[in-house]
Amino acid sequence: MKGSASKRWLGVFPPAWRKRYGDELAALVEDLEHDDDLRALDRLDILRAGLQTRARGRRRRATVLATAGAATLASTLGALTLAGVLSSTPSPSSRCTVEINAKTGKVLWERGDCGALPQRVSGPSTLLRPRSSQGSPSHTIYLLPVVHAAHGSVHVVPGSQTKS
Amino acid sequence: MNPPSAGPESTAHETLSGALLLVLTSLAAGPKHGHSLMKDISAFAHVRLGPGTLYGAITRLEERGLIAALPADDRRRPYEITGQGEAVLEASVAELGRVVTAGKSRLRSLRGARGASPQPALHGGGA
Repeated sequence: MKGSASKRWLGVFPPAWRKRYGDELAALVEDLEHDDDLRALDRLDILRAGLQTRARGRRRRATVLATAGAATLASTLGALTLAGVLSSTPSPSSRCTVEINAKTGKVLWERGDCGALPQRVSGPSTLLRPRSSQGSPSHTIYLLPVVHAAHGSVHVVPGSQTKS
Repeated sequence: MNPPSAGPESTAHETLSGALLLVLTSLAAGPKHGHSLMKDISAFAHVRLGPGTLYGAITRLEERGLIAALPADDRRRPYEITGQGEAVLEASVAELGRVVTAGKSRLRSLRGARGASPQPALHGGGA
């Protein structure tokens, strides 16, 4: 393997690796040639090492990307949680119409900008209790201004509830 | 009870560790560049590392801070073992020493048992 040939075999390594170690490895190949100790299997050895180096680089990049993605997700979730914790006083952020079971607070159906409603609506029991005898006493339709708290429950804002 | 057999992964790991250990051991005698490393390892371990294997080991050792590059002489850059590399080499040699001691002891026991019993015990297992 002559000098130009050895450089061609070095092309299997990633560019950053070649920049750092390429000259040294080429010099080693030339030393082996000079000693008449360069063997046919050495080409395969260089090829295998180059492919392994590339594979390691890909694994490392994948690990970095996965770590960065997890960190971004964690920080986003953390920010959302923090925002939920900080908004201890609920304020109406959306309006939706839901039918709830007045006794259990279970959401039976929803319409409008309800976002991700939980299965049950929590709030002052006086607001969730039906005020008239219309309809079923346990299934009453309300127009509820709600705010979605961080822990997933829905707070009914007192005083702004209207029955439809 | 048979010990767990070594799979392909553990074999590859041992081979890689072997090259790393050989390079560290060679550098423990003083700084060397690639060609000198190959010749030294061939002399003391009777193992010829290929050029790619050698530089793969150098890359990983340098990444881990176990060896450090010295100023290059032309294109031939010598490397030296670091303090951390010395500690790792010491631990690795101690671990190998324990394996060697156990291996020698068990070989003696095995040969003693074979000497006492004319029939080898290893041929009795079915598939």
